[in-house]
Amino acid sequence: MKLIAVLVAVAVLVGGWLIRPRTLQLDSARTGDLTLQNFIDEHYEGPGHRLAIAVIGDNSMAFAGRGANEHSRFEIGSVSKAMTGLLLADSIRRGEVKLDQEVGSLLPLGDTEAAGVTLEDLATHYSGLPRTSTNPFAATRSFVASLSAGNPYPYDVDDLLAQARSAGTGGRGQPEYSNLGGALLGQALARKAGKSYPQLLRERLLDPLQMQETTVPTSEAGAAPEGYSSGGRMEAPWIQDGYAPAGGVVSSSGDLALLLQSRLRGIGVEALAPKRDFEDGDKIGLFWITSPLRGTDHAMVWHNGGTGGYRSFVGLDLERKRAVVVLSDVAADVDDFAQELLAAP
Amino acid sequence: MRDIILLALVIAYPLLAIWQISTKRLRDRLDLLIVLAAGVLFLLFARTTVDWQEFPPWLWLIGLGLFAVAVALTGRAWPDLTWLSSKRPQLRAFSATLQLVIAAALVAILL
Repeated sequence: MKLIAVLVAVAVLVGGWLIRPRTLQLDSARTGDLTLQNFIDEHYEGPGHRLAIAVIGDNSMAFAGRGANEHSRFEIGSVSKAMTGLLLADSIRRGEVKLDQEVGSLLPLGDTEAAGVTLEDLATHYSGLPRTSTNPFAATRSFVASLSAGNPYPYDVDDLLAQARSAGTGGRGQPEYSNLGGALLGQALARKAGKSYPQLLRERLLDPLQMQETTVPTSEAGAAPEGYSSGGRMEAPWIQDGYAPAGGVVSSSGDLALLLQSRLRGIGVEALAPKRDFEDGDKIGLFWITSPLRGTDHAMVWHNGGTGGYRSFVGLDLERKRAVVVLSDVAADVDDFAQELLAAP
Repeated sequence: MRDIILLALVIAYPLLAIWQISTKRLRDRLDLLIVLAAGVLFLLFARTTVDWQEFPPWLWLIGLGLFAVAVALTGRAWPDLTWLSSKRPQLRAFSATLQLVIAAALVAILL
């Protein structure tokens, strides 16, 4: 029996070693601009694997990467909300919706608390809606999915609406980050325009800016490659339908550079303008957050994102007319690195 | 804070298991299996949920090493234990089986 126990212990050690958490290193294949490659070498400290970065001026773009280039596709997570904020500003400009309009006038939410929330509440995270559904079945399903490196948002639009109907808005009037609210807003805009959210995004934001590498995947075939947890575990793609406006977009640093450059040129910047106080002394516009840019006396307008296997950051210094994109396929925050890049001379 | 507690458990739990096994504090083999199953779960749960950007992964390897020692020590304890030692064996067998089935299901999710 002692021998068997020792053999099992050895098997435990070998198996544990094989699945151990580990710090991933950046891919050795370098791409793009030499100056930016050096910046990565000198400043990127976290775990990494594929990394793509871009520095954008109002008339310039520079790209670099490790194991990735400006065409490589990454899940951008909640940077999708920043796109939804731009769509909201566009819908207002078209006269389709108003900021003080209740979302219940656009979506079949019945006589529920969520129905009375305004579009501005949703876009500024003041709706009081929870971060995600509090429905026990959905919450359990999402928790199990996150433990098993799966997709915690496998819900269609009808599921999303059901979750919104059953959600409370107890914290309304105070900033409380809500993926449920972000998704609801995007679906409301799409419903008003008579389109699906992917169609709306394509026609009103992606095609005008020629962002051809950006998609909203609806199946594994269109998904980004699998990413990694901070401990190196491979994570399934987050293919989102109902929650797509809050976190389901896949994009490239090249496409996001086009998106940011158009903001530096003054296109659609009303979505970026601060409207309300947000967490930690920040301000928030239509999902776009305004914060002090560390190491400077400037402000930055930004959004970050995360999925099971990805992290992303887009930020603009409107005063200097400089913007950055940082995309990583490891779920380790890139915010500090991105801010250093934005603040760099 | 949650990650710190979890990492403390990853290291402290195998130490507790080693102490229980080596000082013969366990009632029977089912107890022993449940203790080992819980150890596996702590390790896998930490691997999955701890932010390894904040904490060095070698902390997990310490827990793994201690757990392997606990497993090796079962070889000494096992022959002296019966499968079931309880005044209500049926209830205890049911309870232990249920715990092991739940543990197996969680392991399958976490792997």
